[in-house]
Amino acid sequence: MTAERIDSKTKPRIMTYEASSEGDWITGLHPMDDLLRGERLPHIWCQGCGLGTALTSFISSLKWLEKRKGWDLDKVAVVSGIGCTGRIAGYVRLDSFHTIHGRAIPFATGLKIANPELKVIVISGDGDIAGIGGNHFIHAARRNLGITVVCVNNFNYGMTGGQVGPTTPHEARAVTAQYGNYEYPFNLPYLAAASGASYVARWTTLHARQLDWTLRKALTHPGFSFVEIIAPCSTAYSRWNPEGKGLDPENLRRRGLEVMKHYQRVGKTDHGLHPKDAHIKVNERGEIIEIIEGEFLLETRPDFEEAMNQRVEIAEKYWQREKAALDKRVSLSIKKKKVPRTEIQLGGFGGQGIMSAGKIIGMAAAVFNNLEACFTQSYGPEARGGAAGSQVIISSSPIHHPHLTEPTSMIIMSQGAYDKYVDTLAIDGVLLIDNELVILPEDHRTDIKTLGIPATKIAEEAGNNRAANTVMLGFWTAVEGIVDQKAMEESIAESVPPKTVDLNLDVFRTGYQEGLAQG
Amino acid sequence: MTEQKGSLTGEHFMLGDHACAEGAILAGCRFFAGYPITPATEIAERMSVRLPQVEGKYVQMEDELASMNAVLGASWAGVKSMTATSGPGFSLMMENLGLGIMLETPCVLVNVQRGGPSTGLPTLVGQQDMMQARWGSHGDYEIIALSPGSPQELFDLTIRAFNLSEKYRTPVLVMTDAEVGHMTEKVVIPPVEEIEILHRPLVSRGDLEPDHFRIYRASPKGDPGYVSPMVKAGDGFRIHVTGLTHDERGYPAMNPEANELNVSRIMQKITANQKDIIQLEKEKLRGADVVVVSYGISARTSLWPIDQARKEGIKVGYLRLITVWPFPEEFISKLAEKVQAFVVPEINMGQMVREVQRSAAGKTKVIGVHKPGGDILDPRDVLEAIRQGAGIRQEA
Amino acid sequence: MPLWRQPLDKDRILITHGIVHIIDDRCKGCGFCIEFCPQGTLGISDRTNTKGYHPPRVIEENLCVNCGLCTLLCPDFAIYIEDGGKQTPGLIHPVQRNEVKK
Repeated sequence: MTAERIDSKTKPRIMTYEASSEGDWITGLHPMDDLLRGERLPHIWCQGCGLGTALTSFISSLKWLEKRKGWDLDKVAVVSGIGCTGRIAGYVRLDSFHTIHGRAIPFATGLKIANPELKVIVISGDGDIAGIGGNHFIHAARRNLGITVVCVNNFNYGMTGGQVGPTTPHEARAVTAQYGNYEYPFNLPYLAAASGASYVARWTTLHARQLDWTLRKALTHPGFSFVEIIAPCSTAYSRWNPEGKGLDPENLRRRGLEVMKHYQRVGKTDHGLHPKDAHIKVNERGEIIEIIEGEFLLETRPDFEEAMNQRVEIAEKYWQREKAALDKRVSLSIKKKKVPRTEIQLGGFGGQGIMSAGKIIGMAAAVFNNLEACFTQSYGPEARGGAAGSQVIISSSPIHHPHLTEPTSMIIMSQGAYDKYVDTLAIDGVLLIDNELVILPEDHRTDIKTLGIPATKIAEEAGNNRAANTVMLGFWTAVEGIVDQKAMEESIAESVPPKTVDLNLDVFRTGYQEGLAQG
Repeated sequence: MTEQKGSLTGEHFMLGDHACAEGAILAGCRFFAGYPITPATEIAERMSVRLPQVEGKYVQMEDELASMNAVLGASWAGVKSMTATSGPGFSLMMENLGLGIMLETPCVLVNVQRGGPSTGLPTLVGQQDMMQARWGSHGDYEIIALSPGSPQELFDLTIRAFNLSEKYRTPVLVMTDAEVGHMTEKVVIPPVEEIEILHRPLVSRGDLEPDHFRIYRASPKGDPGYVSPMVKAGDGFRIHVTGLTHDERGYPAMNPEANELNVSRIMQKITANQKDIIQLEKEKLRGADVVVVSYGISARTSLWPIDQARKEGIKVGYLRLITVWPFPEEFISKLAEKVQAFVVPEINMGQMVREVQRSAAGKTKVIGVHKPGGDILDPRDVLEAIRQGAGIRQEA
Repeated sequence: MPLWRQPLDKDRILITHGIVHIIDDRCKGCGFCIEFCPQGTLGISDRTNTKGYHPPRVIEENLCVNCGLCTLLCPDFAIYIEDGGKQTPGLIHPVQRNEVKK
């Protein structure tokens, strides 16, 4: 069998795929076999393990949804992590992803967000979801992401041999807590509810039928649904703890069954109970003496998908604005002129627009004047509050070294920046200052050209002192003559807030005239 | 998904990080999961604004483990996806990068490198993650990593990264740095129809019986560079994939033979296609006495000292690794027979220089120019190394 | 069987009936089905399956009412109930728990 498909939009490439002659192996011995990967059975779970029961309940609920609710099971994806429970993904005949330890939920997050049509179910163990993946669990719940998380809790790390875990009851024993667990466990329904899950329930595997019903509800719930399944670990946990009758030789072979019988004794159904009170009570030996089961929380609020989609219109507006600015852009078609590498240092204090001034120069040169320009700025704590600095390099040939080596041009708008930068200016370089903010010392360098303009005052008089940097830009453009006036004006018009364009262009021209007069 | 809408065709004066985001959008990326980290944050910022405009999805995850993982999930849903980070986040992403490689998942991971180790220098440049890029996740694998030297190239290579990832069904790294990411330069975005965009080989329902599909099919003709086609979740193929060693169905196969097949497939699809993947910029290599081998921002800053050295009469060649991994071992090995010395400038204490040394295998001298992050290299140091390579001793 | 009061209308009512199917070789002998069958239909068998476990056996066919709990509880997909239609109950008797011991 060969399939041919065109798989590339731009460059059609015919791909041949030789399918396997062998199809799936569905035994048909059991009514659930069509949702099981026959080749993979029997499963790895021990005798008396609760995981098989969790799986039958899950399959049973899926079959009901398919039959009664018209679900297309092709659209169901099961994601699990690592551990005994993690193996469930390998046994269900659905799109199934066996990821790495703790990461089932973020993987499911990606699947669900990228294709909201999918019904995504995470089935994993307590170590996977509450231990290594605990952070992902609470955050997915917080987002009210439309997935179902099923945590099969067997109170320990079963696959690695029964180590203590985040759900091991206080005083219970485990391989790494042989003297009794001195930590306290999570109450998972409470954790889920507090984190923002909108459906929360718990059952033991003994209550397979209730579990089946609950799973149907959880799977159809719009939002984050969480179901905890308490399951016997017949080999590891019950070896150490009284529920499985310990090492009592009478029961050695059926510890799982003993635990199930124990659930029958200690299980207590209490629907609608506040999840805080949905405890698993233990005695001083760590023996479970009460398990509260039921459906604890059901509320409806917009899930992640819905909340996100509410923003699409705003995004569209943003896009129209950006596109309009780009479409409006004029082409100056200025001939490329020869400009040697020119390094410009801008300096001032935070809030003066030192960054935007540098960017405006760079944009004027690169976009409107057909030159090369490289703009960098000082990041980090030193860029906040006190001194702010930005650097622009302009050249008609490629700029190899992106940092200033010896600036030949400087725009300085504060005393601090003057002190910091003036010594780096090249001999015969041009220093432009706001001469009301920078007072030149007596020993000011005489080997450079220094020109001043009361930029802040001019901007203030024009009605906005924040345009002082634009005054400096006009001044600089006239004095240096590297970038054309028109290019600078276009760059300013595109860079400043729309309402301030006229004002900025006015003060730019004031600065420019002053520059022509002084230069 | 819309391909045409949302392209900012034209000339821009653009931040490197933003150029990366625009490249991704044009390449067809419609899912971004990330976590804020200097100096890569601006990529996430731009993606959060741009993706909803093009029917894409942005999600800010709880950490970098989740970010990289969600990217894999989205890719299996059939959507081109990406994340971006820097040093500390890159370390966290190694875990799921390994899963991405094992599951053969197309996706792009951008690392805007900063000075390390640990929290290091958040705002300042470094190229110290180059070996981590190659070996960071456990186990044997091959990786594709590209290294841009300017915002324009960051734009271009992000598109190429997507194309390579789709073509070879593997995660591709863009190893840029704080200098390029935080630099604003001219970026020309060409019209959409001029950009070559590749999509993963995909089998759809109707092409064949779903249960006769094999998600990790070996080449029918025994071609080692074969890339098995993919399907999307929800298309009815009922696939299974696992991070465990697996067979062609994706089922766990716990034996050495299966592991050999598995590992050799993920390695060979890259090694056998090296010619297509490796991209080098070569200048005046013929007759060169000294060849400067570098990448990213360090290659760019070496151009001035190279000019100087040529003015001094030294025959200097220039070899820039646009593709850093897989390493052009064969090319450098052959070149080593013809030159007196390689000079390898990089902003770390000696990483890619080891690869050059290994490839040169003692046939020629290899001189590294190193600095542990914080600033770009001093061109004078590179010039000095070139002179040294040419056998010219500076008068004391 | 002890004496047990028989409903007067028991000849007229119909109750569901199920036919138990056991896939012997899948069974791991956990005993869930035997222990929790509400009708006490199942007991442990003397047979040994290919895995070395004793699968369950049907003690009294007529007892099964097709509730399906064993299908849900069985972790190994080794037991299921086929719909056997409806029938009048035979002799109504108290549920007898079949303890799993072997």
